[in-house]
Amino acid sequence: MSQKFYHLRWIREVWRERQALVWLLLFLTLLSSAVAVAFPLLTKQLFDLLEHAIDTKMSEDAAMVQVRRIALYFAAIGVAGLIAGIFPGVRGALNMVFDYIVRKRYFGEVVRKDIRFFSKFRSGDVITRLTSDISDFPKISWFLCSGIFRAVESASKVTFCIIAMFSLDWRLALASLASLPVMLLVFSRTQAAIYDRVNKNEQAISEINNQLEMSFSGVRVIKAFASEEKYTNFFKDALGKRFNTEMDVIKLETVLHLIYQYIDYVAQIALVFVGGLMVTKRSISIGTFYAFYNYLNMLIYPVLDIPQLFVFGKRAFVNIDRLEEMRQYETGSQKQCSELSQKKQNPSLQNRNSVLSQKKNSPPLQDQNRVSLQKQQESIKKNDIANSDVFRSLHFENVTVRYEQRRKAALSDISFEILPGEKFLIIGPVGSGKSTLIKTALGLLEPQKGRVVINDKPVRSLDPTEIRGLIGYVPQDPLLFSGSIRENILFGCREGQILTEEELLRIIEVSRLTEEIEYFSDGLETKLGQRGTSVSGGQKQRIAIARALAGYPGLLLLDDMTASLDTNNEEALWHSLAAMPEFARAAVIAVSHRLSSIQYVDRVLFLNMGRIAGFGKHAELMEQNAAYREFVAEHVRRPSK
Amino acid sequence: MQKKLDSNDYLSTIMRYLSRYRMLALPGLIVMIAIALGQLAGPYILKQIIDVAVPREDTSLLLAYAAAFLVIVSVTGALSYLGMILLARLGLSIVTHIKQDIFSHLLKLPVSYFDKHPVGELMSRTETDTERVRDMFSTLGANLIVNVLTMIGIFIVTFALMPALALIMVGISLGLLIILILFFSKIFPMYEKARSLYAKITAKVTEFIQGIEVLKAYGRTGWAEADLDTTAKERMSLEVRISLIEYSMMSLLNALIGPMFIVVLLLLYAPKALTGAMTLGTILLFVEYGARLLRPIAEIAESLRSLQQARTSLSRIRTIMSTPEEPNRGSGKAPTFEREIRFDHVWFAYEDEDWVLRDVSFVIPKGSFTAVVGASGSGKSTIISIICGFAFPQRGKVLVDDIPLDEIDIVAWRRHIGLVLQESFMFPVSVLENVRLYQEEITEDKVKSALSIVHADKAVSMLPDGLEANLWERGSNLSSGERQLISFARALAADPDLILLDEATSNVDMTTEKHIKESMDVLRKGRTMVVVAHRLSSILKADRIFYIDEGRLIAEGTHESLYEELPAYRLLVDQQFPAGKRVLV
Repeated sequence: MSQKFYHLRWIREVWRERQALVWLLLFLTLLSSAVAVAFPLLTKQLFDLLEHAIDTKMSEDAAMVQVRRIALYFAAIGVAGLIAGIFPGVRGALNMVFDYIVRKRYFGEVVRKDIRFFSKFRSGDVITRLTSDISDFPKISWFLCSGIFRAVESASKVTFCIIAMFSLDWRLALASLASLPVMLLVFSRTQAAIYDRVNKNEQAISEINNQLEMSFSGVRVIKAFASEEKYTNFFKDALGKRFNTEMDVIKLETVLHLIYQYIDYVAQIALVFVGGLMVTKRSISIGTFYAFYNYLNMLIYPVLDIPQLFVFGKRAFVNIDRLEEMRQYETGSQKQCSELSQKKQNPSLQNRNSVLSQKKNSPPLQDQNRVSLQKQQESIKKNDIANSDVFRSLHFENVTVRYEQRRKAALSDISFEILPGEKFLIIGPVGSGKSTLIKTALGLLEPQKGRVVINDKPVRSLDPTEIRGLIGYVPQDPLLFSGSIRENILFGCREGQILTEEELLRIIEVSRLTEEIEYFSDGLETKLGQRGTSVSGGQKQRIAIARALAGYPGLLLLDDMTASLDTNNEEALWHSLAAMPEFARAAVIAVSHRLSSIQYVDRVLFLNMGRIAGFGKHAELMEQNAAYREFVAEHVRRPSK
Repeated sequence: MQKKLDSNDYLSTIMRYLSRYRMLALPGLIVMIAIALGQLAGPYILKQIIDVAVPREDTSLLLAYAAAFLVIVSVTGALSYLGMILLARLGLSIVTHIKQDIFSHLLKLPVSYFDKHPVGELMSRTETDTERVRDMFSTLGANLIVNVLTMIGIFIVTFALMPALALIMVGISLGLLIILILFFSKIFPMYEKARSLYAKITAKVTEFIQGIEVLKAYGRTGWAEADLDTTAKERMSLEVRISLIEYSMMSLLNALIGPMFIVVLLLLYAPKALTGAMTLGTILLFVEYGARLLRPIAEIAESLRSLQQARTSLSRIRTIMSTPEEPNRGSGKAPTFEREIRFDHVWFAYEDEDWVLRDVSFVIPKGSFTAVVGASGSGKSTIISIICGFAFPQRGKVLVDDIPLDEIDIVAWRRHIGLVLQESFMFPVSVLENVRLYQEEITEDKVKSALSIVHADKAVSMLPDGLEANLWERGSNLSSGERQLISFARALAADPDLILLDEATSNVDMTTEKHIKESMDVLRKGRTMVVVAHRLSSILKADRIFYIDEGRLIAEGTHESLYEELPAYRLLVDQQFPAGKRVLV
């Protein structure tokens, strides 16, 4: 299958979603070209008529009958033009529809990926592919409709024009079109030259943005070292550089612009010379002469447009490839998982016979997840919370996980089991695999060997609704979403669960947030992720803890609480967890840098280089495990905060 | 040096910048007039050919007209080039000037200004808003002028040939202009809305991609998709509406101005042409002018709207320029630092009466080593900000050698200070400039030795270009420990009398920890040092310790004395520095 063919199939696939509109657009485009081309013909008729009437001294009344007939045609053409003239609007509207469809489709693909996907694709890159690659001019969504249909418009106009010109007078047609290829060449040459300068200028612009960003972010350092003037001068230099690159671009752009603006004059001048002579010699009529004048006006821009569209097309294809690259990237036993996701959580992909989705006929959305944060309390579904959501065990069976492009496995041959009510602490040096273990337990990473089993089911085969409420997870980075603090905490609730105000306050208390929330002027309704609200990193992390507790999960995974809670608060958290009946049977796996946490857990899992270097009660390990002893001793010697 | 913008109308601001570049502005204007004339001439020559050359069957006259056409086109072409370059240069010069002014002014504003205004906002003031203002000076202004002139030209020619038609044209044009202005004022807010919806979509995609772990861990990917979908749908339907409205309007106008104008023209003037009262060429001229009428009108309406936006941008810029600078920049008493820094009943609040420091008094003698400890949020870092002159107390006084800090030339005072922030800020420039901050007085050798003293030389030599290596944004190609060391080198290279250090809380490996400790000892030598302490070692070595609690200075003394006497301090040390107990035992 050739590359181009593949892209075309991709485009056809998206078009299928709105087939009727695409056909309508095609019709309107051709109609508008026809109207545009008919207009000069009608004008020619008019002038021919007037010329003829004057020459033959036709009676005014007789002539006016004819004139009125032509006026009627003009009116008809006006109405047709009015209808056809909407086609750029339809084009723009369809761009937006395709924009929506494509983003929805690929966002859906991306959220279903194993998170190893995100070690291959940086999140910034993924975001670019899902936003500006799709929406910016002249990228995918523009090209999908406007790009292609502009080409259709241009091509049809050019064809119609040329046909009309040759049928009017082939000699004049040849004479006036002769300069076209030359102009086209000049134009595309200039245009090619401009890319280079534009590139340079873009570098200068991003240099300036860098300067601004760093100067404003580092303003304390600049001020403390009294370097304001140095930075001002430095900025001035950058501006000076940009002045030059920008002028270079402008000069070339102006030339381009002028060529663009005056290119029709070149052909017109030829027309005035050749056509003018023909008119004076009466070998063509004034009407024909004027029709040519109009056609040349009309012809030139579509001709310049067409090569441009090929350039845009190539770029759009690259962006399509970038989307497909993400879709086709498979991690671990991705296949089985994506099949599953098609079955169970696939609200967006309803494409029929899609080449894009491997599975045909995925069922229409039956979307239990479509509950917004605010509404989740209202939607009570008394489904089987009782049975499936109770945590019974988590089992690591000889689990090995490796990241792409890294030779050493992040986790090797890890086996352990945790049962309700048990509390584990994971310790180990930086890079020993602590976070990887937590992520594997969550099913975010698929082991290459071995398996992770929750309640006798492989964790990767659990579907989202089963996971909800089963596991509470506090990531290293709090990763909150915009919305109020309340919404963020309630995010952790299980499907259909209603958290009473009382319970919510308890959870806030346990997460050591009570004071902070009193301090915020809007309390629980304080919006996060908006400017003006300063919520510190520690506070965010404690909100993340509250979120993890809100669903009363049977399994709590806490990835490094050292940063979010001081010793005091951590102690309080452990104590309240033990005291709350809802968490009495909860299993907890915590990662911590603070060895004082050891006192609250049953067992310690000591990781080193991705392997379990010790597993058991702290006292036993101290006695029997030299490496463990050494690690603990080092940490105690070292005044950690 | 300060540039004060008078608070007159924004026109005065424009004129001030324009008059500085009048050598560009005036010729630019003249050229624009020439272009407008050139645009009118084309159709007129057509008319002459048809009315004069053709009836006489005079080929030489025809060639003369054709030649005139050629000349006019070439001359207007050349003039256009000249004019556009002139205007572009004008706009660019002005915008560069404005950017410089804003940037240098911003850097002189108090630190509190930067706390209130996010970096993104300041960047968009210096970049986006100025670029909009630039449009006003170049393309926008030029287009407006050319279009207005073209319109006027069309009217004059029409009026001379057919006064009645000219009146109709004026009527139609004014009507159109009003319709278009109304139309744009309706549709522009929709554009804005659509743009902000797209920004919202980008924000959501960003948030969900970055929070993918949490979405998955909580089984909420479906929710995220649905949430994004709601916004995406809203945007789609709005954009579809905009697109259809916009082009329906344009299509309507095109039809009215093109075919319908001709219909009116024919019904009114065809009889005259038939009787010979009017030439064929004149009819043709008006068909041409009629077809050319819409574009200038539409463009004028659109320019007026954009001018409005440029005006908003300009007023934002003026707000920044009129924000007062930090007090005592380059004025005030010359600082000395011979004896001490004294806080005298200092009260400080970032907002209203929300006191961060309450009645704090202490003395930091020159040459001493002071550690400030307390729970997070107790106001420790604020003390450092106040010593730097980043913030000024609402009550009480800060005195340096008995001179109040708010009377001292603040820039000169800061030259005495070396500040190490809790989060070591790295600029995305070379290591060299990160250490010396573009102070060429600090030689490369000095930078090198500073780096080697703080044991950062090894990390630097690991970078591809060593000292010349560009750091990534926020220095992310270095570890947090290495960044701390480089910010130590920065303070060391500046060779200040007073080191203010807000210790980082992040974990570093043991070797780096050792290097940090050693570097602090070097930094301290022969200098006054104030440390907001997060390391036990800093506390142990300090001459004196200030214990701050909820903005109050509860106690000061040595570690031993405070540990004995102050239970709160003992608790803090035991909790925050679990190893502390053992050290004492």
